[in-house]
Amino acid sequence: MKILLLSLMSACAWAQIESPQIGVILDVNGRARSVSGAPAAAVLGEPWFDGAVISLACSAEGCVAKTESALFTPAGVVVDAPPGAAIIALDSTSPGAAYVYFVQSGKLARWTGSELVRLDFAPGGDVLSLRAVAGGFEYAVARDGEIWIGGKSLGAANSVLLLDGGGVLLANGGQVRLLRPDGTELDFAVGPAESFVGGFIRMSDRYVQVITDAGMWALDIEPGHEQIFLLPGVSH
Amino acid sequence: MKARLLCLLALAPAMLDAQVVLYSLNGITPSPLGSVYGYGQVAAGDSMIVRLRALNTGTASVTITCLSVKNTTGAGFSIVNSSSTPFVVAAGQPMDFFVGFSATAITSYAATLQVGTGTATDACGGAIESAILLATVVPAPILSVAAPCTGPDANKNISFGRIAQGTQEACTFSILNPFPQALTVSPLLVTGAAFTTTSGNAVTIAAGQSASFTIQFSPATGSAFSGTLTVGTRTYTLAGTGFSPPLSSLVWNFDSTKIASGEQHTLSLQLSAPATVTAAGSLTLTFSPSIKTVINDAAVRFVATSTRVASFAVNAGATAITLNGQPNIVFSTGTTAGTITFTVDSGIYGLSGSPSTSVTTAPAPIALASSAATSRANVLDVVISGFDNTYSIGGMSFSFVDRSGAAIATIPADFSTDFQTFFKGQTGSSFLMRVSFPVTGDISQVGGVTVVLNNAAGVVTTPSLKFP
Repeated sequence: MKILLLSLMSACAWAQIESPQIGVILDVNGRARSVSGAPAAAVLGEPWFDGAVISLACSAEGCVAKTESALFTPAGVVVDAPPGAAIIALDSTSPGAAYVYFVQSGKLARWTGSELVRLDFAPGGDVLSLRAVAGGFEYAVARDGEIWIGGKSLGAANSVLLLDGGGVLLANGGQVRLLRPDGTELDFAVGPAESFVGGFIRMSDRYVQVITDAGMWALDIEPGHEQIFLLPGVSH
Repeated sequence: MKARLLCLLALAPAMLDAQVVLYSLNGITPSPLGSVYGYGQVAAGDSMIVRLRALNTGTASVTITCLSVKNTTGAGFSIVNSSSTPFVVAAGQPMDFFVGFSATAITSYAATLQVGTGTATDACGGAIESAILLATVVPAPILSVAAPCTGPDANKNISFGRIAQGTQEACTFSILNPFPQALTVSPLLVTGAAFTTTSGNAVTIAAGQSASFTIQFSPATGSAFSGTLTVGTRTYTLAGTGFSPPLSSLVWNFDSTKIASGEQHTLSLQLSAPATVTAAGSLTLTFSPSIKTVINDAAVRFVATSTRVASFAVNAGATAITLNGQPNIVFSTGTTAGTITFTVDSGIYGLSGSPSTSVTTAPAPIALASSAATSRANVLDVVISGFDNTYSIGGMSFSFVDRSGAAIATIPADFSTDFQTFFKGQTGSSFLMRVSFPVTGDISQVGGVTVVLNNAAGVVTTPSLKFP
């Protein structure tokens, strides 16, 4: 059995080689661009289209993006959506699906991949981030000057991103803190103390874009590989 | 009719006289010479040359046949440059010539200038325009200057040389009275924005004695300056140049002494001494791959701007240099082995020491970013991403184990051709490779694989990759 198996393997193995994709970012002009190559030597791709994307989330299963008035996917699915920014939580348990919170209207919907299905939602604070979890979603809100996930306070922060699997990214000043579900923490400096992290964008399963007033960064959140890189050509 | 003709002929000489009018020229501006022209006071031994003009104010040409200076008192005047006579001057046109004066005896001098249009046999005997030239030779003090200044030369130029802008240089001047009587030197004046003196406007020097004074040169900017020093009848040209001192040598600070491919590093720059001026310029990055088949790696650049040039600036009195307005700059080393060179162009400000420094990214074994093993119906996939800064990846081997960890076999493979084809269309050496192994039989027996990848710089081995 082993001999037969190995002879077939040896004779028929083939290789496909391509440029590694890091993820998709929003540049300073609001254009969605793919990022490829080695993280420290990344190369920006061309914008998806000549229009501004205001919200974005990507994973291995694809991206969901929001313009001022529409939700769309790179595959070409476009639906009308409430105006303004959205918080998008891709649902890894249902590829192509996502939870989408429309900040301006305060409405939550389920994106099925082709349509938006409105969900009842009473968050009890300013929603800052969402993530899909088994059977539903959870969210972080700002309340009383702190970040809360349900009844748990994460303290004060000016940006937060809930990661799949239970991790959290928090930003304060020029520092980003990665909180692992196991309680470990890692800090990353993205600028001087007076810097301001304006937000996070999920670039892919492995990378998160950190938007600051002094530059844009890609944070590798893969356990054991945590590292932060300056993104090319998108900051002053 | 005859009487009229005779009358016209009688007037002809007077009309001829009036056709030539003499002028002196101060620069290009003519002034009527008049009957007497004074050269004024001329220092003993000096020469003074005046440009004169005979202008034909008539409507017909005239031929100047006589041009002479006859010294009547002393011997100091002479024609130093003129066209040869006879000289035809068209209507409305001039004939310029130069009359010089020079003498050493302290006395007055006179001469008669004659410009005639007489016949060939009596050139100065016909119609003549003339003027009396006067000059007085006065005692001339002897001016000297001590180092670091030089001069005066034959053209009365005194040089203060080159000094840094914002600094000062004082030179001591000495006026010697070589005569057996006291000499009053007046005026004694200095002009020019960069030149100052503490001397008075005049000085009386006893016989055989000297008087000293200083002139200070203070260039405010990095440029050439000129002025004048008038010592009695003589005027000297003062010249000096201010220059911006070069910036002191650069101190290159990298965030690490170990720099390799696939990294981002921070560079900051300092001067070894405070800048004397506020200066600006550019910092340029160049990359020279050490891989023969690669001519560039576009990812080697300043990351934030995706360019290979950045501005630099330093304030007067500071040592810290800002790069693109920031205290430091991040650059990417790319994914190609080679030499990264940084060069500062400080433009007109200049720079002491070398303007460049280089860092080298050495050829290294393949850098792995990720590796994984997956399986499909009858195919095992091994996915590896990373980069190879030698561009020589290709040879590899796959060691499969069963679910118990027992070796099944090691399968060598060579994908060199595939990689070389891939690299031709890429920027850098990053790759994502999926190697697929079709399998017949019970694929679930294969539990894991370890991959050994070779390149020109060495060998790297993946972790043990488990098939799901």
